[in-house]
Amino acid sequence: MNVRAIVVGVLCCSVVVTASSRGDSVATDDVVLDALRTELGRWYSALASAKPSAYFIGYWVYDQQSLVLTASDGALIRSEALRRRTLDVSVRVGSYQFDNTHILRGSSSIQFGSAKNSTELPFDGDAVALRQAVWMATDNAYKTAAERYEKLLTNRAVKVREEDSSADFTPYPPQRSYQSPIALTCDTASWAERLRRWSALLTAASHVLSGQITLSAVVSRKYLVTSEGTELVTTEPQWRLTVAAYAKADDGMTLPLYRTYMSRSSGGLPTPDSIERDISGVVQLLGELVRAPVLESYAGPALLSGRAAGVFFHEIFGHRAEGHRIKDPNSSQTLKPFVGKQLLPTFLDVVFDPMIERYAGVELSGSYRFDDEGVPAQRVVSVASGIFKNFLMCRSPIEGFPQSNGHGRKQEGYSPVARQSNLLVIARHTVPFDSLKELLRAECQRQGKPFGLYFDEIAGGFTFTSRTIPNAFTVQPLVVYKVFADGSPDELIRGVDFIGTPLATFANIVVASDRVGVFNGICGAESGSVPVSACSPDLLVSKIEVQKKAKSQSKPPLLPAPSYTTDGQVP
Amino acid sequence: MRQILAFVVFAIGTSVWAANMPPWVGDVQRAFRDELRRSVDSLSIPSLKRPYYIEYTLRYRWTTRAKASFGGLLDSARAESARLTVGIRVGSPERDNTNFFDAALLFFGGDDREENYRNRLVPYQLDYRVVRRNLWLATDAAFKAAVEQYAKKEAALKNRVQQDTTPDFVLLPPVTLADTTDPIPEVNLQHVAEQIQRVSAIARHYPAIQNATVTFEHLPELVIYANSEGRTFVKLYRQAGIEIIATAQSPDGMPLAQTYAAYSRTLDELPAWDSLERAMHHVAQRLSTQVAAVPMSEAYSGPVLFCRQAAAELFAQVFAPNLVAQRTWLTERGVQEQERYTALQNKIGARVTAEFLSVESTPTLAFIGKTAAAGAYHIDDEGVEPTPLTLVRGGYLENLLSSRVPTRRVRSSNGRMRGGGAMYDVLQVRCNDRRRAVGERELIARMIEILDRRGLQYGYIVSEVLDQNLLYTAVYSQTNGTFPVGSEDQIPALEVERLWRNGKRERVRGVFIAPGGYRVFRDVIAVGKSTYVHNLLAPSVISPYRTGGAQYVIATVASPDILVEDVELRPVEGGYPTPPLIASPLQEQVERKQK
Repeated sequence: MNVRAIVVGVLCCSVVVTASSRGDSVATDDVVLDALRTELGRWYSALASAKPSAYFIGYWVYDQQSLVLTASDGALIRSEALRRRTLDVSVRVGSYQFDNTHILRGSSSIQFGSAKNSTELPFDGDAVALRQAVWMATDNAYKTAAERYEKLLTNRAVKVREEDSSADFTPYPPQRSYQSPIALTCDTASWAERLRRWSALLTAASHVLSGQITLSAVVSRKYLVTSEGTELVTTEPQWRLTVAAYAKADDGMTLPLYRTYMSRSSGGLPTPDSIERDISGVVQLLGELVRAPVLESYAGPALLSGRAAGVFFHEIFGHRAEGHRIKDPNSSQTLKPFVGKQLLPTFLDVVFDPMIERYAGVELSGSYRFDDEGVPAQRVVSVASGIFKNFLMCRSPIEGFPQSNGHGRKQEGYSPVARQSNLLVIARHTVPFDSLKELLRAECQRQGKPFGLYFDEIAGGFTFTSRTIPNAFTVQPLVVYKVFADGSPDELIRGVDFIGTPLATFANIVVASDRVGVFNGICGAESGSVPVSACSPDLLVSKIEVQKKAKSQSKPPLLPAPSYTTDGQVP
Repeated sequence: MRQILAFVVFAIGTSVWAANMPPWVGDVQRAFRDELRRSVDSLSIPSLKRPYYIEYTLRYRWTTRAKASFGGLLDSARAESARLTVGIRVGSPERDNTNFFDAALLFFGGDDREENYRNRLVPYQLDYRVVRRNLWLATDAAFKAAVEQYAKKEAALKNRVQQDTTPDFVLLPPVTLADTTDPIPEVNLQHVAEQIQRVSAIARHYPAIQNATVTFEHLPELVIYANSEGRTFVKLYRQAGIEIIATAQSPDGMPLAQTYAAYSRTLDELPAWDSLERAMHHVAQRLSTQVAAVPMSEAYSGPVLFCRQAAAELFAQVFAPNLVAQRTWLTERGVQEQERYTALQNKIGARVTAEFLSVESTPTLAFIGKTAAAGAYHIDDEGVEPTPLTLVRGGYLENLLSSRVPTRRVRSSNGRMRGGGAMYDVLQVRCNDRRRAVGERELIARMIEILDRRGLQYGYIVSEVLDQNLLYTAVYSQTNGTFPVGSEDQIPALEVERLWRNGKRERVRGVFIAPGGYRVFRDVIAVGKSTYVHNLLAPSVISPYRTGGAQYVIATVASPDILVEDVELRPVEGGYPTPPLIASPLQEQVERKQK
C-alpha cells in the first residue's frame, strides 16, 4: 500500500459566494434529492426480498462547478469552466455482520474500496433523466455486490478463522442536513491577467526552466442518501492556487519548488503583493538550489519545520492510525499492540479534528461537517501524553473500536474507508524556535556530528503499511539546510530524501518549538484522494536517516534560452 | 551532409489566408523560423550526429462539446488549447534515428527527460516569446532523444547484415502552402446544448431503452508547420460530429446497441436538427425492435448481402487499413516488428478484390454526389499535397498510400500523412462491370439463387455494422463493459435480417461477422447500383503508441451494397448479464399510463 501526500499549491480567489446560503435549510424542490429518494425507495423494497437480499443502499452524488486557469510563460495554457454531476452507488448484501465488502482473503485483488466507475448524471434536466441513470447504476451495483458476496461465502468456509471477527458495517442513526446551493462566480479576466503576470515572473529568470501557476475554484455539492434514512446535502467551496517551478542543476538533478494557498472564500486569500513576494522567493531559492552542494547519505540529528513535521506525522503515524487496516490480514497493523500504551514522548498529543476550519491562523483543507458515510465529524484524540488511545474509524468496526468516529472518507468513484482529516500535533512543552536550533547544535556536539539537518520545505511523502514489504516511510524534502555544530552559517544542500521506520523514529523525537506550521495537501490512498491538513510545531529529532534522491540523468538544455526583449523582439 | 542543413528562408504567402487568421500566426511562424535557424546552426553534442532535418508543428484547437441524455445535459464546454510537436532526424536520410522501435523513447516518462516534445501542451495565448521558449525546450528534448535512438539503432545494426536498404527518409524541395480559405467558425454552445437536449429527450418515448446519449463535438484546428527544408504550411483542419448511442437489453439479457453518427468538416455539412430528431427516432425504433428480435443461435457460412453503412464499414474495417504502406520497424535486437494491417504490403500486382471492383483514393474530393466527404483535405501533415490514386484496378492492387517514410514498395510520399502516420482518406469502391451492378431487389434475387443452389435454408442481410470508434469510446462504457466485443477478427453487426429462401425476412440479434481478412472482397459476386457515402472516425492504421499521433482520424468510404458469396457469421456467445431486476423509470411511466 502506497500512501502519498502531495502538496497541491493553492491560492484561493474570489468565489463570490452567497455566504448566507451556507446554513442548513429545508430541501423543498431539489430535483436530485427527489430522484434519489424515489429510486432508493423502489430499489430497497425490491432488493430486500432479492436473493441475496440487500440490507443497505447508499447514493452519493457529486455536483461540481469548477474553473481552472493555468498560466505559463506569461500566457494562459488552460482556461476551463466545467459543470459535472456524477453518482456513486453502494449496495450491501448479506448483513451488517457479514456482507459483500468483507475482505476476500488469499486474493491478490485490491481489498478495500477499490475504484469504481462513477456514473455520469445530467446536471440540467428533470427527475426522469436522473432516475434512469440512477436505476441503471443501482442494478449494476447490486449485481456486482451479489457476485462478490457469493465468492465471500465460499472464501469464509475455506479459510482459517479471522483474527478480527468484527462486523463489516455498523448501523448509524439517520442524519439530515441540507445546505442551499452556491453559485461559483469569479472575475476570470482579472484572475487570468494576474496569473499571466505571475507566471512571467517565474520564467524571467534564466535558471528557471519551467513554471506554472494554476487557479482552481470548485464548488462541490455533495448528496448522500441512504436506505437508513440519512439525507445530507452539503456545499463546499474551495479555491486553490498553486505555484510550481523547476530548475535543473548541472548534474541533471531536477529541483522543483511549490507554493500553495487554499481558502473557502476570497477573503482568505493572500494579497497579490504577498503572492508576488512568494514567487520572487521561489525564483531566488531555485537559483540557490541550482548551486547548492549535494549531500551524501547521512544519519544524525535533525530539525523538522512544522510543515515538514506535519507531513512526517501524516505518513508515519496517521496512516497507521486509520482503523480499517487493522482488519486487513495483509496490513502490518503497527499500532494495534500500542492501544493504551506509550507510543510517543509524553509531551506530545496527536488529534484529528475535522470540525475546525482554521489553525495557527491558516485555513485547513481537511475540514468537514459530515464524513462520507453520513457520520457527523468528530474530534478524535488519538494520542494523549504519548499514549495511543484511538484509531480513526469509519463504519467498518474493529476489535475494541465498535463505532465510527466520523472519519469515513472517499473521493468520487471510490468506497469510504477510515482516512485522516486535520492532523494536529500538539506539544505540551515547547521552546522558542531559536532555542530549538541551539538544541540541535548541542545534540550534534553530543553525538560528535559536525552538522545536523534542518528540513524546511517538503513536497510530500509516502509510506508502506503492508506486511509484504518493509514498513518504511519517505518524506521528500525540497529545501534542506546543514546546521553546523560550531555555529557556522547554515548551508543549503540538495539531493536527499528523509527515510525511516515508524517505531524507531517515534522514539527519537526530543523536543518541540512554540512555532506551528500548517501543511494543506491532498492525500491519496485506497479511497482515492481526499483533502487533508497536517499541523505541527517544529520538532527536534535525535536521529534520522537520509538517502540520495533519485535524479534525472538528462543534461540541462544544450543551448541557452532564446534571447529576446520583453516585447518578443530579437535584440 | 552539411549542404542538407542549408536553411531555407520562409516565403510565406500571406495573401491567401491572412484575412481569416488569428493575428498570432505570424508570431508563430517567425518563432519557428528563428528557432529552426538557431537549432540547425548550433544544436550539437560533441562527437554525436547533428540534426539533418527538424520540423515543427503547432496545432491550435477550438473545442466545443456537449452531451445529453434523456433530455438532461451531461457535459457542455468550450476550450482552446495549443500543442507543439517537434520532429528531429539525425544521421542521414539513408539511415537515421527513425523506423526503430525504442519503447523507452516512445512514451513521455519512459525515459528521464523532463520536457515533452510530442503534443507538448503550450500556452494557447501565443506570441513570439512563448513559442520560442517552448520550441527551445522541446527541440532540446527531441534532439537528445534522437541522438540516443540513433546510437541504439546503429548498435543494433552493427553486427547484422541488413537486407533492406530502403532509406529512412527522402528529402523534398521547399514549398509554401496554405489551406485556410474558411474563417474559423463560431459555435453557439447554448443553442447546441439546447438542441441536443431536445433530441436526446426523444429517447424517453421508448421505454425499452436503458441508456441513450447524444454527443456534439466541433474541433476545428489550425495547423502551422515548418521544417528545415523550407517547407511550410498553414491549414485549417476541420472536424465536427454528432453521435447518437442507445443501448438496451433483450429479455434474455443480451446487451444491444444502435448508433447513428454524422461527421463532417464543417458545421454546415452536419445534418439539420430536425433530421437529427428523425435519426434519434430511427435509432430508438430499431433498438426497440431489436429487443424483440430472435437471437442468432448457430454459426453460419454462406452468402451475405452487406447493405449501405454495413458495406462501407466492412470495407473500412477489413480492407482499407491494409492499403496504407507500412515501414517495418527495427528493434534493439534487430528483430523486425510485425505490424497490424500489413496483409497487402507485398501484394502490389496481385488480385486482392473481385475483378470487377476498383478502389480509388480521392483525398481532394470534397463531395461524392451530394454528400460531403469528411475525409477530404488538400495538404497532409508533412506539407505534401495529396494526389488522387487508383489503388486497386480491376481487382489488382496497383499502389499503396504513403507518407514521407519510404517503404520497399512505395519510395515516395503521395501525401497521406495524417494523425501521426500514413492513413486512408476518401476511398471509393467502384464497379467496372455493369452486369455486376444491380438494384437491391436483384441482389436479393441473386442471393436466393445461391441459397437454392447450395441447399441453404436462409442467408443474411447485414445493413448496420458497429463502428470501432463508437464501440470503444461509447457503447462499451455505456453498457458498463458488458457489450460483447468479440475477438480481433470479429465485427459486431447491429442490423441483421435472416433472408429465407421464400423471401421472408426476419430480424436477428447477437451476430458477429467473421470476414476472415481482406480476401472477403475477392468473394464479392455482385454490387448495388447506388453508392453509400460513409464518413467515419477511423482508427489510425499505424498505432498512435508508436507515432504519438491521433487515435482516430476522419475518413470517408464510399461503397455500393456488396453481395459476398461466402462469409462466416457467428452468434454472440459466452453469456451476458441478467436483465435489470426492476422496471426502469421510463417503463414505469408507461405502465402507469396504461393502468
